[in-house]
Amino acid sequence: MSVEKIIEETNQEITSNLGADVEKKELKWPNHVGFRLINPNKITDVIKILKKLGYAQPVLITGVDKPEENAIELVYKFNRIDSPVMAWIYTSVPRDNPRLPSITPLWKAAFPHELEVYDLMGVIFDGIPDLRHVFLPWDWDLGFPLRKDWDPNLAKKYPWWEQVSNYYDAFAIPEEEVDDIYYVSIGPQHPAVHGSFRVILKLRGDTILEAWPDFGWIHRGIEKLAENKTYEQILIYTDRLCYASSLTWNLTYVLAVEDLLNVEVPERAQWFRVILVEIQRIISHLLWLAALSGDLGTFHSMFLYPLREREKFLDLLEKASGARLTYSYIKIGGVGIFKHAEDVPETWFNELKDVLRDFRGKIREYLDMTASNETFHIRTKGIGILKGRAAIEAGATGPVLRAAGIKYDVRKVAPYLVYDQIGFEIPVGKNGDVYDRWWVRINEIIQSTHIIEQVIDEMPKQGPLRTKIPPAKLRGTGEGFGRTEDPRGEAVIYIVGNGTNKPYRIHIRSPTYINLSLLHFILRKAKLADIAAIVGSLDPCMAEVDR
Amino acid sequence: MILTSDYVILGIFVLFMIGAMIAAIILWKLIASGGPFEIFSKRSITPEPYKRASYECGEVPIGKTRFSFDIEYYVFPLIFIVFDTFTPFLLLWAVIYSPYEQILNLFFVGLLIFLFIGMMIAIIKDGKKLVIPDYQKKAFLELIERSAEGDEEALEEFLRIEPLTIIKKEPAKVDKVPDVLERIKPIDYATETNIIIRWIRGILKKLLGWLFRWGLAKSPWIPHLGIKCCALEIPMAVGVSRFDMERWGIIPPASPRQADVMIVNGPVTLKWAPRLKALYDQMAEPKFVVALGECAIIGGPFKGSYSVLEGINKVIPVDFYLPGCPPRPEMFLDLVMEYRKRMPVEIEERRKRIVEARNEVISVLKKVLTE
Repeated sequence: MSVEKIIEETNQEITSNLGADVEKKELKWPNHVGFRLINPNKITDVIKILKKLGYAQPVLITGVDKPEENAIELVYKFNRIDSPVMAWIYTSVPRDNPRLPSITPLWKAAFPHELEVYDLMGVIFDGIPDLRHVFLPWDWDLGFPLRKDWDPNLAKKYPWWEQVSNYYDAFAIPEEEVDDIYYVSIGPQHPAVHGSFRVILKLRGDTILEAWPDFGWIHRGIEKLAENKTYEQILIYTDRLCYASSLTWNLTYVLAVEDLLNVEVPERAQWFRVILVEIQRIISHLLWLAALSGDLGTFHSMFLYPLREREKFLDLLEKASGARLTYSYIKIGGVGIFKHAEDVPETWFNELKDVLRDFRGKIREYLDMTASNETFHIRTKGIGILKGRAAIEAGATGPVLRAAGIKYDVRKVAPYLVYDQIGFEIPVGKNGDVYDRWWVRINEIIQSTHIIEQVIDEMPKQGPLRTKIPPAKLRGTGEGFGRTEDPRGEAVIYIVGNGTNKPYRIHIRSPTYINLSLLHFILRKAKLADIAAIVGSLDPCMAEVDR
Repeated sequence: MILTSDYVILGIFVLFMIGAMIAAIILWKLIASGGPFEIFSKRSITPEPYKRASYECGEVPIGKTRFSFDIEYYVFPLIFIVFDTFTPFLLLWAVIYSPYEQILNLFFVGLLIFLFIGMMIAIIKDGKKLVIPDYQKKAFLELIERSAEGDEEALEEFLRIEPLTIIKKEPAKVDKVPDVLERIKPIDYATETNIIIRWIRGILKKLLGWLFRWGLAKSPWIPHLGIKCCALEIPMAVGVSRFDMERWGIIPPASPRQADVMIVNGPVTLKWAPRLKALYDQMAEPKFVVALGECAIIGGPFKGSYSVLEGINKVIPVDFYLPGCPPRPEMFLDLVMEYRKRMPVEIEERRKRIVEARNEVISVLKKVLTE
């Protein structure tokens, strides 16, 4: 189906079914269709129609606080697997009584999003199965941080040090032992959880009956902090969103700001960004490969080798940007360290080619050590299964969704930068288990090397890398959003500007947050010994989850 | 004759084994905390209640941490252990002693059958479950309450841990002066009358103390505590082949209990802070803390956030600050050199402070309880 046909069909279905409750909203993006819902209680009807029309997931649900209108504006965004069309639903709820029906009963994938909106914005969703705080402590009653009139000093009043009673009651854990059932808390300090993250497990023997992921250990309130920073200052927060893939988050943010401010980017910079992002994808996947191998118990070989190759790519990025982890290299309006920097030397590209050539052989080495290893197959096959429709329903994106057998990649579905001019394939798994996720990511590394080699050959050899934007121009009104394929899934940053040099609201859709929320489903009936492999296969990056 | 000489060798070996075990126990009794040649006085016992928590994940568990498992989980380990312990016997058995072969055969086969039957009876008779004794039931706070009510046993156990907190718990309720107090002697090496003990202790202190500090300096154990970004550089990037921190003997243990240096990387949030304190308490003395990166030092770019602690030194004492966002691996290697220089001096000072504080507290406690 063509884009126009889908948009027309969506328009027709929604306006004919809802009549006066909905009005069309003009958006500045050509492939997107937007509606303003006047009666928020009708949201479930809209969702039913969108689901019937083949929209796949609620990619983003967020709130924008508007005290002068005494309203909280809710933004829903839906994507499709087969086309770049996106549906945006805007609706407002009163600020003093923010209630509207939950869409979680209809669409499971909305659950983590709605929890987040409740957690930080205080909108109550009627009919959601378990409404509690995610990033803030579960019994938090000191207001909602993302509201504009919230006083940050209130956070100090919370009894952070009375820890024991605070965190177990949330999961209704009985103090007495009941039959054979017992509870284990894995984390926050545990080698298998890759950062600060906790899973609470209800076990019988070594079989997991139920699992609750517990987030918020390094919740820094970036979305709140960013409201008091200028657009250029926020860039450093995007580095630290996910320490394993700074550049992809740089790009997502920069795309959103450029969308908001209508900035033109030189063509050479567009191509160069693809190189940087794909290097970052390789780095991130290598780190993941090492971490997963460590979790599976092969510390001394498969943990060391990918990190050894990672260092070579880090050196390249260090030569270009000057930093090893937090680059801030993709800037608003282009790429570069200094405002008037013209170029990276030609030798840098030759060096990159050499590194990639060597790296090909190393991938073969990894395959020899893992794919031909019987123990590796036993430890990964048939574990942590999530496949087919269920993966879309639950909201998975990125390699987790592709391993489940769904061919969905933002680079292909809605190409950004110059991805539409580059030939590459999307690796797709079959069974959706840990092995398939491993397979998909290994193949993505290989595809990334192909992409980089193509781009080096095809990119313009001369030309500026960055447009100069005067500070006075760094102010925007309206909306801007960037949607990219992060190494971990679909990353979206949504910005609302109010004409000053600071954003009014910035929302970050973290793919790992949604993917980790899946643990609730994936870990059921799994064995305790497999938990390291399953959590590792989702590639958690806790800094990005908690924000 | 051959038979006897073989057994003589075996006998010597067994005697040596038993002797080594006994020697180790005696040596430990002598140099451990409370012994006459006390050296590692604070290595094993620290006052904080988290020290006694059952887990090292930062969370203090509620309820029982020991519970009964189904027998099926034990069958394989049991069989393994039984046959594993038989292996030395089987080796002997494999040696052919012609005159005694049949007797030995009978004996060992009989032993096997007997143990197997015994095991099966035990399994069947005990029913479905094996129950592990719940010896960690006594919580620390319970101990304080009991000792405040005059329970001498509890008081003794408590005093062994920490004499500090009892003063806060209304010691006036204690009617008589427990004899325990008479038995506690303030540590004062100078007043030891026996000159031989003083002499031996002096040598041991010099020798073992040097060995102890040498080990700590040459091989600091750093637990793998990954909070945020900096964890990718330290200990991850320095842990692998390029920077290779194992050249300096640095080993990342999974648990803080075996750790000497804790590296706190990343912004510690208010939610993390109590857990960080718990993890710090669980480390054995002497312990060192490194605040790694701007976030751990002062909050970094997240300073001013509603949920971020502005510097970990508000929760735990920090010995080294390593700035950077994140610091480069080379900076960490420089830190290791600095640690080697400062560590022995710092340990001596800390030991003195601890002994002084303990003596002072005991004298105050005695005074309060006798009045």
